[in-house]
Amino acid sequence: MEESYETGLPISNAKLAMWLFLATEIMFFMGLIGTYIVLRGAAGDDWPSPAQVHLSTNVGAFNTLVLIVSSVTVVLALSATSRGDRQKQSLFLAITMALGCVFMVVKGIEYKGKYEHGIFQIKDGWPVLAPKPDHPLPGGGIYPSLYFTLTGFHGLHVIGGIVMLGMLLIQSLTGRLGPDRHERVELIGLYWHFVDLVWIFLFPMIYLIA
Amino acid sequence: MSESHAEPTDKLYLTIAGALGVLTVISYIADLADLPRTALVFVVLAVAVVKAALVAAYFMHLKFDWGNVKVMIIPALILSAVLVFALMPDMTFAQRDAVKRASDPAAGPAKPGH
Repeated sequence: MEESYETGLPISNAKLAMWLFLATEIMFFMGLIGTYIVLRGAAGDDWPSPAQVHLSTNVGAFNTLVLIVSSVTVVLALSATSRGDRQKQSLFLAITMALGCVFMVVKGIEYKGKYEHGIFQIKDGWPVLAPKPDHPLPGGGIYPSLYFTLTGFHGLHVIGGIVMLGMLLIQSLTGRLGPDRHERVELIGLYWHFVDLVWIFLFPMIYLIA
Repeated sequence: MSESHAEPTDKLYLTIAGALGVLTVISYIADLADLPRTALVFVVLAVAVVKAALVAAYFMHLKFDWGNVKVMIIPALILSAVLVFALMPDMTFAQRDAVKRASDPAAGPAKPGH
């Protein structure tokens, strides 16, 4: 009798696709983080202090804990999905989404503070990542460019995750997310954990080793 | 496909979450402790790597899926490291050297090729 030979990886197509996408996301964020490492290394002392750019370690630490807790709740939502516990599934998905929104609100408050302190400008309705002329920073526009590009792209990824979690929540509330569909919760959870992973590196880089 | 391992329990997830919280507090305290810069960078990045490993291994299920997924992740990690190390000689070290020469009139001209 012929033995069958499985030529593909023993994971589903969807999981393979999500991991391939996450590999591209690793490249994307390493492009940005790598730029930060290289330019920060070049700047040496020509770099604003945390006080000059109104960087609060407490706010960064709070946001880190928010994302860590949201990673826990999304994995608990997956666990509830596998068990068929619809109530817990909806609850944990809603909490994850809410925590994502909290993260973005805190980021928004930080950005507003940076604008008010002249760390960046708005000209003709567009943000210009350079400090206002009356608030010069060491290194000029390097710090705002790096800070807002890094945290801005991360924030956009968080928003994308919130939208996908919202879609899952709607499906959960309308009873369309049974145990047979646990893979979609798992894969969107994978994306969310990745977003948390990126922040786990951004927080020390931007807030602690400032 | 069947998974031959036992799925992590909610209790394990909460334990990992607690560990992540503790690690975050450790890096926060390291920042407040006024350590020398090299020590601070080392502690803070080591904590970040451990946190990332815990999230990847347990929350992203990589402890069980790594054999299947590594073929996609390892090339991305290698290329990421190459990107940084390839740029460093010109954008970090040569730049620092150029700035130092510009601010130090006693320094001689740049060597050929620099």
